[in-house]
Parts: sequence; structure tokens; C-alpha cells
Amino acid sequence: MHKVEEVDVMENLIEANRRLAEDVRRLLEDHGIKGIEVMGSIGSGKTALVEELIKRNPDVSFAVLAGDVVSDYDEERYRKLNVPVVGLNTGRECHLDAHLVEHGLEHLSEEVDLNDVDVLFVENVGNLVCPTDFPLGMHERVLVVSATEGEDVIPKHPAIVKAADVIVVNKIDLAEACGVDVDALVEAAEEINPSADVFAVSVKTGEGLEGLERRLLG
Amino acid sequence: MIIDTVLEVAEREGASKILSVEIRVGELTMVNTEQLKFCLEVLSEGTPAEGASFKLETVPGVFRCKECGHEWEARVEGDDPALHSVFGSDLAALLGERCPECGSRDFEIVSGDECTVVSMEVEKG
Repeated sequence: MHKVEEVDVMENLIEANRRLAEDVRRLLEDHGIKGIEVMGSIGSGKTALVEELIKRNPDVSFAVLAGDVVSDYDEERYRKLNVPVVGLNTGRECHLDAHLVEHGLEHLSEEVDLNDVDVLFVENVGNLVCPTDFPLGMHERVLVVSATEGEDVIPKHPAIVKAADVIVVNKIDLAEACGVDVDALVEAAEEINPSADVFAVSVKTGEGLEGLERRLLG
Repeated sequence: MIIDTVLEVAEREGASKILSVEIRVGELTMVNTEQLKFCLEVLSEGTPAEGASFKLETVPGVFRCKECGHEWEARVEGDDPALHSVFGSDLAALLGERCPECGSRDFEIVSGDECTVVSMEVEKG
């Protein structure tokens, strides 16, 4: 005779990621590292922004975890800047999670003494949806969108906007050509997330990068 | 991850078959319950969870005002079709929401951001 039983589980899987993220945060703090996650859509300029911040700050010791579904294109780009980098391929997943970042840090520690790293950038997979639910334990969550994505990109993705500490509106040099009002993008971001700091920049021309730099690295 | 958790618990409990699983999904997560249910059914094939009934319950989003501390439940109202997705997600409430007490736009999420395996019914022996 089979016996049927009710079993209590109460396992919150999103909370499980948050707990791992707290472990990652402790590890960063033990080594005096400031962690910055960079989220954003595909082609918004996440890699270009991180590259530019690295190039403009030769006195800061950077390291990078470069997340992508497959390929090592971004990893190679960072490697050219002579910074320690580990590529994180999710394989199928559309976002990084704290568990992957923990492994990434293990690999990174084989390339560099973590005590020598000042700032760690973690570039998430290009996606404005799923990364929202999976904080990685970084001190700042930076969202990058670009003027070329259109004026609606912010209100179309309110959850990730709400989750960000810093919001970057990139490619303002192309805004006019795209018929996009940069002020409207900035206002939409401030409307949804009044706690975030919003910066309108062009990674290409350097416009607006100083303020962002002060906020993130100052 | 959900299936891993379910199978681990079943093994720990010495269960031979999983009959049902109760899962709570927050309205403010990026989880689509219809897709999740389908995925769970596919993933459970060939495991003791095959054929189990996956009961998905949604938990409403709750916000807390950072200015006055007032808490309220996210609710999508009005006639704007953009605010009514097929699944009626509370995520739309993140747009233009204000504290009903003091009118502040600065609020945080206090619940509705979970994905919890609550309990399961198993067969032993």
C-alpha cells in the first residue's frame, strides 16, 4: 500500500541566488574590491563603455568578468587592454547568476591576486528582462540603454530600470539622427526610478563620461 | 533549479513518486507562469516527478514608500491597453506608480519578487 504524504519545502529559488550574491559581496569586500555590474540590451554599448572607463583610468587596477551566451569576443576585447579577464559563457541562459560569478572569481584569482584588484566589472548578457531577478552581489548595478533603441526603451522595461543604481543613456551623439529626444529618455528613467543616478553620455565622443566616472569610480 | 529542488527533497524523503508540487511565483518577477508550467512538465519526464500536477500560485507585488513608509499592493488600473498584458502582470504598476498616501515616486518592492517551492505531495513505499 502506497502512503501519500505532504512535504513542506519552502525553498525560495530567487532568494537562493540572493544568498549566493551576499557571499560574492563578502568575498569582494574581503579583498577591497568594488564590484560594478553592467546590464543592458544587446548593442547598447556595455563593452565599449567598460573599455572606455578602463582606458581613461590607467591608475585604477581593473578586472573583468565578461558574460555572454557563447563566444569570447568580449573577453578578447578586454584582453587587448591588458586587464585580467574571465569569460563567462552561460551556454543557454539569458542572464548571469551569482553562482556563475562565484566560479568566475575563482578563475580570476588564478590570473590575478584579488587583493590587487580595485574595481571589478561584471558584464551581463545583453538582455533587459531576466538579469533583473538575479543580482550578482556587486555594489552597483548599472543599466546601459542607447538612444538608438528608441524613446520607449525605458518604459518598456520598468523592472530592470527599477533594479538599477545607475542608468546610462548612451549614443547621445546619434539621438538626433534617430529622431530621439535624450531628455525624454532621461526623464522616463527618473520617473520610474527616482533613486537612481541617470547619465546621458556618448562613449564614442566622450560626452558626459566625466560625471559617470566620478559616480562609479570617484 | 525548481526540478532539482523537487527531486532532491523527494530523494531525502524517500519518496517513490511526486504527485503534486505547489509553487509560488511573485507577480514582480520575470517568470511567466504558463511557460514555467510547460517547462516543468517537460523537464520532469523520466523522473519521479513525471505526471505530477504543478500548482502555480501568483503572489501580488507589494510596494513600500521610501518617503512615508506606507505599504500598498500593486494594482494595474485604467484603460491604457499598454498596462494590461496578456497575463495581467503587476510589472506594469512600476510605470508611473505613486505612493497613494504622500504621492512620492520613490518606492521599493517588499514582496512579489519570489519563486518558491512551497510544498509537495509525495508517494512513499
